[in-house]
Amino acid sequence: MSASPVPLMQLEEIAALAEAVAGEYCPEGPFDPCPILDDNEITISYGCYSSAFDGMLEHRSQRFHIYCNLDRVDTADSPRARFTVAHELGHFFIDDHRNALKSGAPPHGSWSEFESTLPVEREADHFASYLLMPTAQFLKVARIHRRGIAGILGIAKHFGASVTASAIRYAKAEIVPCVVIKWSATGFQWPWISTEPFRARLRTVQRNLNALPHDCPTRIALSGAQPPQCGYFEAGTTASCWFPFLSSSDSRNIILMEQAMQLGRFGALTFLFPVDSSFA
Amino acid sequence: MPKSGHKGKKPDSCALEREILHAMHDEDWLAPETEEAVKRAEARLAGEKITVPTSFEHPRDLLRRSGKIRITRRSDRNAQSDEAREDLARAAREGGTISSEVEARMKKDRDEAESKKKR
Repeated sequence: MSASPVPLMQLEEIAALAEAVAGEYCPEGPFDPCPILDDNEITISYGCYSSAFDGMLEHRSQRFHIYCNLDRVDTADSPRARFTVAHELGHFFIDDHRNALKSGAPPHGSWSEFESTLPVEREADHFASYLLMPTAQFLKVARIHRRGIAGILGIAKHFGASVTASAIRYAKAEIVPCVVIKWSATGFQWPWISTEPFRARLRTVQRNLNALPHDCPTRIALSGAQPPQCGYFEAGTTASCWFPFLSSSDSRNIILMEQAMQLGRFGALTFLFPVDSSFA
Repeated sequence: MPKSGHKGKKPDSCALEREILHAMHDEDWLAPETEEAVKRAEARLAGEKITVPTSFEHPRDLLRRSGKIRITRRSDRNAQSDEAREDLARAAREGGTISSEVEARMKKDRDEAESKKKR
């Protein structure tokens, strides 16, 4: 297996492919898997398949079938289920994946929502993100919402997408220079850093929860406390608190807004962005 | 009022139309439509040397410029498919274990979905 990241060019092609599919089948949005499945003669089952996978694309007797695991994604119309189906459609529409499955690669269970580091899974995640939230529609919706998690929640609701998928697209689209950090119930999972902080060499985030102030929004969210009416916790913080190598006297040690949102059994999401300046 | 004896096209005008049509076919302004015409066109083209415009020499470049179609060389494609195949197989190995009970349920669900589709 190649552990290398997926080349940017390839990701752009995958995004274009996903947007072409979205434009053909759901031109007005939001994403509806039914016409895509029907037109491509893919059958689907929403069932309870224990905890082995979120979704699976299987090729058997010259036909494709998608399994969506309700034990992992809750209901058939939940944001996670929609992302999972879009992800499996990615395996179908990306030529290399479909051809590999057709030529006998074993059906595999997919862990959706950017949880796998395997290139094929990242590619399918990327496809799903653009199928659910085509760029033009995404930017239109993002512009009318407030900055930060409030905007991400508005986007997630509009597209029927998960908070995690929406947050990553928000960071990728550079709506606000920001850092997104995903925590599982047991600790750090991954960071997503937008271009501006990345260029400012703010690339290594704090992974140790215990090194953060005990009353910071992230720790409160992960403690399972009842969130306020808006659905997330927020407070001011500093860059040096989140980037461990940064000294307090560094010019990049700016004031940040820290917002944190609980994701049920999937942990929590931290969103950091400058209050009134840039990272640079 | 029409003059007497002027009831339709003169025979020579019909012949002229036929000639024009023939010439248009010969010049390839019109695509051959009958089996005979196709054979004639093929016989004529077999003896001709066709020069492709230089801009058509690299169809890959043309298609790539359109920006809408993804093209990969066969060798690249095979390499990519092999990689995808390896990764998919790895994902299958890394995935959680599917019990025989769950597998049976999956098979049943798929069979049901497929027979429902056929109906």
